[in-house]
Amino acid sequence: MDNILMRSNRIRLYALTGGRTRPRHHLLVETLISVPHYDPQLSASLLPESQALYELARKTISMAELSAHLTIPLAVVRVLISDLAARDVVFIHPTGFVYQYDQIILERILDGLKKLPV
Amino acid sequence: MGKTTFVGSVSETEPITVETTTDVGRISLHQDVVLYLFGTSDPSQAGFAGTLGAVVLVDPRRVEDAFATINYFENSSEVPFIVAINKFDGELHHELDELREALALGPGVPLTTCDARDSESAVYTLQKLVAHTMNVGGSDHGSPPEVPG
Repeated sequence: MDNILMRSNRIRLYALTGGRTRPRHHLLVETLISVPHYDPQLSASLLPESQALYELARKTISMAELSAHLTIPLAVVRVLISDLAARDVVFIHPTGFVYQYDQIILERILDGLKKLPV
Repeated sequence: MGKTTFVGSVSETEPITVETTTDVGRISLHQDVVLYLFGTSDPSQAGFAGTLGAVVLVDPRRVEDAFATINYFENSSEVPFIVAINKFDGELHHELDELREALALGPGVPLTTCDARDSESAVYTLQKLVAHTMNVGGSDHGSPPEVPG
């Protein structure tokens, strides 16, 4: 493994976030992200890492998956997604806490689990 | 114990690992409902405040390893949880009642067995968890939802 390359890559990613590591939104590993109205022009105008996040989020995806697919540290994904959300180009889904007490969605989850072909 | 195996048994995608301790898997249940699974050895660090519930997997040979996790869910978390004894060798050498006592589990916490390698067993465990979440949901928040039946 090339440690020097890894380190410089890491430095570059943190430089990309302007040294910020604290996102403005509460983004957990399980937080889901999506693009409500995809705009190819906007996508083309983004920096490569943000563009990659924006493209992946065209289909609802978790913070964990974004980090893993792009091999970008979660802390960096948080800052970049937070910036995109501040521009209203990505949507941060409310976490399961909202659904925890929603019997209808829980019923549907249970029903879905019972129908899984296992 | 067995979290990576458990997530791998039910996830429709190859589980991914983030920040070294979390295995992430997903199950599409309906067109508009995707269930995410997160396996972690330290839930207090993971910050899963938004989860529907948690399955604490216990190695029956080392029940004491589960104490810290169970303490966390009993005392420091609002997340509904169940405890599943992972019968990885297919056998349970103790009665469930004995294990409940050994784990000092409260009567309100469901205790079950599973085989994390077996997708049917893992899915069944998730069903038990969701049923438990439905039963306890909202009880600490002043407006318990009506549970049918």
